Amino acid sequence: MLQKLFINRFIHLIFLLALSACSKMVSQGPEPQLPYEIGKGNLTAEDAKIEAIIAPYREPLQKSMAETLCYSDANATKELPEGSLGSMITDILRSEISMQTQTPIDICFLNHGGLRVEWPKGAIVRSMVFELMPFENQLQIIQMNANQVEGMLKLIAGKGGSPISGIRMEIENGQLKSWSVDGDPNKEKALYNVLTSDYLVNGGDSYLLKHEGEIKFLQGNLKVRDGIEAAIKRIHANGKTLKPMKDGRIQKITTP
Amino acid sequence: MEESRKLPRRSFLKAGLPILGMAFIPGEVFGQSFKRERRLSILHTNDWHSRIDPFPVNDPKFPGMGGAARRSALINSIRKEVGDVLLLDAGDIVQGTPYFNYYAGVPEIRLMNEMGYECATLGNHDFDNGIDGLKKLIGLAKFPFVNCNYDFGSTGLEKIVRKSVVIKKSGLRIGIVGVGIDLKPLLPAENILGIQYNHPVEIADSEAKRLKENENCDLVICLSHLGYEYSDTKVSDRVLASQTRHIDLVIGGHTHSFLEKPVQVANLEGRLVTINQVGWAGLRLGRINYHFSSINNTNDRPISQIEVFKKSIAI
Repeated sequence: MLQKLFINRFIHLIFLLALSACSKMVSQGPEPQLPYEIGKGNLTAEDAKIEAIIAPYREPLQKSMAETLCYSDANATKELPEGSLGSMITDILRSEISMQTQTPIDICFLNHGGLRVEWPKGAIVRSMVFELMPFENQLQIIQMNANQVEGMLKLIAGKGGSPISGIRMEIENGQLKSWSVDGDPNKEKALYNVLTSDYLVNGGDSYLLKHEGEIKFLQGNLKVRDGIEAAIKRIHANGKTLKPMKDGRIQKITTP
Repeated sequence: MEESRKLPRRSFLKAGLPILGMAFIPGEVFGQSFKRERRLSILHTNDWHSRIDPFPVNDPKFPGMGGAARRSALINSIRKEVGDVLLLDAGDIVQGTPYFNYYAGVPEIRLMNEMGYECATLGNHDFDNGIDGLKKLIGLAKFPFVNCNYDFGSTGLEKIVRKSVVIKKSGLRIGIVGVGIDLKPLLPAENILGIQYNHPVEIADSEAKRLKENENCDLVICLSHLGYEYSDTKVSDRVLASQTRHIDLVIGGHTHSFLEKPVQVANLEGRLVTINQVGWAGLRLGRINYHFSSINNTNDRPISQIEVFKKSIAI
């Protein structure tokens, strides 16, 4: 202890000597060896006054997070090129937002990395929705012509697949080989309504989605997470369950 | 916010005293030319992101870490050790846990009031519930919010967000100015309707100059939500520090940078400006100690010295 103090004083002395020679601001001084590693915090004491403020907020929140919103018939998993979780989430969002906005939505696209956890078979509680989509990204509807859709699908192919609804596509050696829109097999539409997130429209995950005209924000800037919650609650209210499955919408072909 | 701890008066020590003697005189004044001394401990957080509870024990990155009750206990233990501290936050107080979705930031501000925060700046996420949502939070806060580079027009924020504040602490006058990031690419237009972003560097420096010259501040801190550093030319804390003359310390946020220790950058005068940022989520508390001494028996403003770079503290 004394030694430590001694060293501190010594350094302080040098520091003051330096100061007296030069009146400019100088950075000097020891760096005490304080515990620093995250996850090994040695400070676990809690302030009871703070805890007393939090408790009345925490309890109803925990109750709400534990609320069952829907049931799932199977595990929903993350996979590439297609996973049962990604296909299910994009399908139910497309259907929910079509209903909410009274707009036919041709395609729903989210990125693989954006779905953060998998969902189990059985009860889906609200905290799982928050864990799946902790981000505050908002749903947006953009309009794409066929070239722009193809551009998006090329990016998806380069990444080895993605959660997507309304599209069937083939990826050959990391390249887009063929594609079609479920609701428009002959690609006759001038513009497709694409439901996605602001994150992806703005260049997140290296997707910078090219589109025509104005971006459509949803009522109340609906978040992706809130859209998912609304979708699964509606399914539950209709007496139905989630049926996560892969339907082969993205085929990966490997040629020698 | 007045001086809460009287500094003990001591007789000056002559040069050449045995070093051992120095060891028993904490915070000694060395040499006759030094007249006064003051000490200041600045504690800071950034990017709370509504992290009121610790991370879950099964969190892959931060298992069981953080938590407002622990943050507060740590701050109180430092107060016990050094007396009064200056407690600051660099924005993005809200958004990121269901607490914000459910309670719109009210518990976060109540907790900061209780912890004794003295000033904060605005982060982009603090606009997530629009201007009205932010007004409510500022109205609830017992501490001022500062920003000098947003032109708030007639949104109402112009009346409640201040360009800067002066806080008297430990017999010193501490000027605090705030700067924020361009909100337009980050938020829906309706959330920031009527707010104009201005490039922060010149505005912040001229406000810092005013604080030093007109308000007679001993130290000027810039609370920044610009972000620590970018690979392109976008304005950041490093750009701000290097392109100004009157800011002494930049306490940053936004990029969630876990700086291992405060960084120093030369400003336009060649003087070193300190920058610090402590990650996010209240996982760490930043601490910077200053030691002020007046020199040469003049009545000049004391010159600030960074005495110790303490590493930020993991909670």
